[in-house]
Amino acid sequence: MKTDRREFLKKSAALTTASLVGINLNLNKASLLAKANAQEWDEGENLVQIPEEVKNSPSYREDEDGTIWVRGVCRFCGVGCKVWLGIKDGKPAIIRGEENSAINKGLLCMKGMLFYKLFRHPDRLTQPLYRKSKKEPFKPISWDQAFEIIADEIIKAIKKGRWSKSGWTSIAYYGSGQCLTEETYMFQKLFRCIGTNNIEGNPRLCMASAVGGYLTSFGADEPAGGYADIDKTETIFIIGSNTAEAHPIVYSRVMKRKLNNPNDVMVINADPRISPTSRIADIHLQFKPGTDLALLNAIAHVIVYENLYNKEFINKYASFHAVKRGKPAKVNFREYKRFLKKYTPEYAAKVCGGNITPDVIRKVARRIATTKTVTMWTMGINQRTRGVWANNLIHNIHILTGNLCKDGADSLSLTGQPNACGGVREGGGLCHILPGHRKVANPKLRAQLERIWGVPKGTIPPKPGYHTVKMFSAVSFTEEDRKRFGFKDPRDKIRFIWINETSPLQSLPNLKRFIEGFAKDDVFVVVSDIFPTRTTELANLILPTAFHFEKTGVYGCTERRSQLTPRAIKAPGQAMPEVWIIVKVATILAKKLEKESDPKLRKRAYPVYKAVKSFIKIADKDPWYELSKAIWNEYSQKVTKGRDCDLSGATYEVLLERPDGVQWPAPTVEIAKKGGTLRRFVVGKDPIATELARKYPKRFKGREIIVYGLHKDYKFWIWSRPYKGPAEAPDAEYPFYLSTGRIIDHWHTCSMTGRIPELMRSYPHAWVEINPKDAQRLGIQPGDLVLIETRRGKNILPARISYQQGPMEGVVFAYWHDQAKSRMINLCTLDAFDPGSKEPEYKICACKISKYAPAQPLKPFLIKLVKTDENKYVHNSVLNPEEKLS
Amino acid sequence: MRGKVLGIIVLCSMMFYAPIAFGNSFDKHPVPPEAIQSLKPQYQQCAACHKDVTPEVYKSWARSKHAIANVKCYQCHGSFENFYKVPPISKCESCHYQEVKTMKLRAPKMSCWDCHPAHMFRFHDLGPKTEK
Repeated sequence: MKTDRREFLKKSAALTTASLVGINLNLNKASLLAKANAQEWDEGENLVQIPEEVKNSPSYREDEDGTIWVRGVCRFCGVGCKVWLGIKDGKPAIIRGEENSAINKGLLCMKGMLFYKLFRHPDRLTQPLYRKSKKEPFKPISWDQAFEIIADEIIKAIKKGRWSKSGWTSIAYYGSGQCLTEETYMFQKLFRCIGTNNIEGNPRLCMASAVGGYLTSFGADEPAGGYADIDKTETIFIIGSNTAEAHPIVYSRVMKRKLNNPNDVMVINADPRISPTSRIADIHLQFKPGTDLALLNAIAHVIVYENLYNKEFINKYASFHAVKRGKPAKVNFREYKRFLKKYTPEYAAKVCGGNITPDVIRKVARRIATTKTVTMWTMGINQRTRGVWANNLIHNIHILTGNLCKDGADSLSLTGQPNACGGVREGGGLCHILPGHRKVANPKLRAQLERIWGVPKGTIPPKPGYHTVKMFSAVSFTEEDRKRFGFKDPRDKIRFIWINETSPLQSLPNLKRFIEGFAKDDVFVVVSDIFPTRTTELANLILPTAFHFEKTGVYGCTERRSQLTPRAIKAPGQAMPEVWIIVKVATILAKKLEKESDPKLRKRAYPVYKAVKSFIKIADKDPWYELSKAIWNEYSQKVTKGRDCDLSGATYEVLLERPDGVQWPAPTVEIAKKGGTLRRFVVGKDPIATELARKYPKRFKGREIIVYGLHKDYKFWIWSRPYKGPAEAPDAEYPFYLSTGRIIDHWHTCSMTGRIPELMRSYPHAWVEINPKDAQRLGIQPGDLVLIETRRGKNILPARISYQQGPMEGVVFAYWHDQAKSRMINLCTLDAFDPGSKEPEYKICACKISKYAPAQPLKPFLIKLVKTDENKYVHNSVLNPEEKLS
Repeated sequence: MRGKVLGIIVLCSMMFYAPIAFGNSFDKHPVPPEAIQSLKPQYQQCAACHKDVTPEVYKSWARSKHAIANVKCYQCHGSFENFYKVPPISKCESCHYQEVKTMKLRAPKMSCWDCHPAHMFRFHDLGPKTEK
C-alpha cells in the first residue's frame, strides 16, 4: 500500500474524525492500562518480593505515597547507570536514575527508564519447552524432565566426541555479556569441571580486541581510569564509536563538559559516518573504513617527529616493542621512530580519503599532545581484522603523550554490554581465560583455581577451547568449515550447545551458514532466555529464566565498577534464575556420570558434583537471593583475591550500601566502602601499586606509576603496528563498503526493546543509510526499498538519505536490531576475524546496492511463540515462509 | 494545498481533541497509530510530522540539550497507548528526581516548565550557546 504525504494528511484528518465517533476507540480503562504497560497481571496481584537484607539496606526506600524503591543497575548497555525501580500498588511502575551515582548522576536513557514494562510482558517464556527434533513443535515439560534431558544429552554428545587438550570436543557453552557475574562464573565452572574449555560468549564479538589491546599495551586488562576523567579533560577523542546512541549517558557527560566549557574543551569525532555523536564535535574526521591504522600511526608520527611526546613519562614508564621474524621483540625509541617515518600526515591523508588532510591530522595530533585527553572507542575499532593493533595504536598515542594515570587523561575502551567486563572478562567466560584474569594456558594459575574449587589437579583442560566463530563452525561443520579450522577428526563436531541470554542466530556474522548448521538434528541446542528469539527458533530445549530485578547478581561495567541488582519482583510462571538451573543440572549430571562405564567419564562425576556442592542446600532454600550471594562470596573472596581484579572487599553488604558500586582493585572492605580504586597503577591511589612500592622500595624507587600485570618491566608498551586494510575491500562487482551499528532506541537483537511500545514505534524496522550523492547517482529516493547484496547474503531495507546523518560516499550503514528475515543484516556481514582477538570484522565488508521498490510502509516483525491446538508451541516465523530461518 | 490540509488537521485537533480523559488521564493522539503505520517509512517518526504541525515545539526541542542528548518525544509524551499532551511531572522524575522532589516541597503548585520553558528546557544560562 502506498501513501504519500499529502494523502496521509487527508487520511489522518478522516481517521481522526472516524475515531471520534467511536470507531477503533477502546474506552475500556483496564485494557487501556494493561496496553499502556504492555503487561499482563491480575488487578489485585502483588508482584513484590524483596529480600530482608535488601529491605534493611540503603538500596531500599519507601515514599510517603507508598511507592517502594529498590536500587540496582540498568539492564542495557555497558555504561552501568544506577537505577531505582519504583513499585506502585504491587506492580513495577517507574524507573529513575540514582542521583548520587558517580556514573549517571540521576540521568537515564529511554531504554533504562522503560524496561519495567518487560516484567509481565505476555511474550515472556514461562515454562520449559522441549522437542526431540527441530522439525517438531515444542511441548511443555517439567523442570525435572528438563534437567534429565540436559544431562543425558551432554553425556550422549561427549560419547560422540573425543578428549583433546582443550577437553571434550563435542560440547559447548555460549553465554553473554548480559549474564550476571554469578551466572557466567557458575556456567564456566560447571563446563570446565565437566571437562571442556569450549566456553565462549558474545563479548568475543564486541570487546575481545579491546582485551587484546590492553593486555599487550598495559599487560593488564581493562582501563586505567574511568568516566570521571571526562569531567576533567580538555580533549575528547572519539573514534569508532557512536557514543551518543550506544552509550548515551557517557555521551551526556561529554556533552556537559563541552557545553559548559565550549572554548576550552575540544571534541574530535573520527568515524566514516556522521552520527548523532558528531553533533557537538569540533572536528569530524571522516576516513575510508579500515584506514584507521594509518590515521592513528600518522597522529603518532606528528607527535614523535615534532618532539611533542612526554620524554619524562616515556623514560620512566614506557618501553618499545615490535614483531620481528614472527615474534614479539623489544626495540628502542629510534627504531620506533624509524617505523613511524612512513606514516607522514600526507601518506595517511592519501590512504584515509574522506575529509582527512595532512593539516587536520597535525592539528589533532598537536591538540592531543598538548592537552589532557580522553580517548573513547568501541566497535568501530574492535570489530576489525586488526582490532588489537588498532587498540594498541590508540594506547601508543596516550603513552607517548603521558595521557594516562592522571585526572582528565585516559584511553578508555567503552564496553558494549552491561557485564562483559565484570562477568565475562573477569569471570572467565571465554575459551582462553579463567576467572580472576587467569589464562587457561598458564599451568600455575589453572592449578591455583583447581585448589580454590577443591577439584582434582588436571580437572581444567590445559588448552583454550574453540573461539566463537570456530565454535559455531564446529556446529555447522561443513567441508569449508573443516578446511578453514583444520578439523581433521569428525568427532570435533559440536553436538551439544547451551546458549544463555543471547541470540547468536541473529547476532553472528555471515549468519546463513550457522543457521543451516543449527537447523540440523545432529546438534542438541539448549537456550535459556526470557523471550523467544531467532535462536530459540532452532532450539531443542527452551528454558524460561528470571529477568533483571527478578533475580540477584552483579554487573561490572566499562570502568572496572561492580554493582548489585537485587530481587524485587516475582518471576512469572516457572521462570527461574540461571544459577539455580546450573546447580540442579550439575547435581543430576554428576549422578549420571557416576554410573558411566567409561572411567574417563566416570572420573568427571566428582568435579561436577564438587562444582556446586556448597550451593545445593541454598539453591533449594533461596535461589533468588541467598544462592547468588553464596556464589558471589566464593567468587569475590576466593577467586579474585590477590588478583588485579580483587573484589574481596566488595561484599553484597557493601554493594547494597554504595550508590555506585565498587571499582576494583578493592582488596578490603574499607577500600570498597569508599568506592574502590579510580586511578589504577598509581602509587598512593591503587592499593596494589602502593603495596608493590612499599615491598620493593629499591626496585620502584622514584616511580609514581607501577604497571603491574604481565609486563615484567612494569611499564606500558608502545607497539609498532603497520597499516593493514580490511579483509574484504570493495571492488568492481561489490563497489560499496557495508558497515553496521546500533541505534539508541533498540538494544542488540531487540528481543526486549522490541516489546516496549514506545521503542518499537520509534524504530519499527531497520534502515540503511546512504550518502545523498550515491543515492542520487543510483536513483534512490528517501524511503525507497534498497536491495543490499554481499557475497554471503542479501537484505531489503528502506533508505535513509541525509546530509545531517549518514556515511561518507561509497559507504552504506545498516542497523542490526531487526528480526525480520529480509532485514537481518548479519546475513550479509563477513566472518573474517582478528588473528589475535578472534573478533569478527562486522564493521567492514563489500556490497552492492540497487533500488528494489518505491517507498512503502513496512511491517514490523518480532519472533513469538504461538500455541497450537494440542498444547504445543511453534514460532510464528515457522508459520510464515517469508520469515522462516531455514 | 498542503497548508490547507495541515490547517484542517490542526483545526480537527483543536475542536475535537481536547484531551479525552480515560480516568487514568491519558490523552488521545490526534492522529491514530493506524494512520501513521500506513505511511511511507520516512514519515512515521514524530519529528517528520511535528516539524510542520507544531514547528515552534519542534524548533525549541531541536535547540535543546535534550535534543543533543537524544531525549525523544515519547520519553515525556508516551506512545499512543499512554499518550499525554501535557506530560505529568512524574515523567521528569526518571532523570530529575531530586529536582522534582525539591520543587514539590517548595513550590507544590508549580511545574518544571514554568521556569524552564517546555521543549527547550533552558537551564540558567547553561546549554547550547548558538541557536541555529
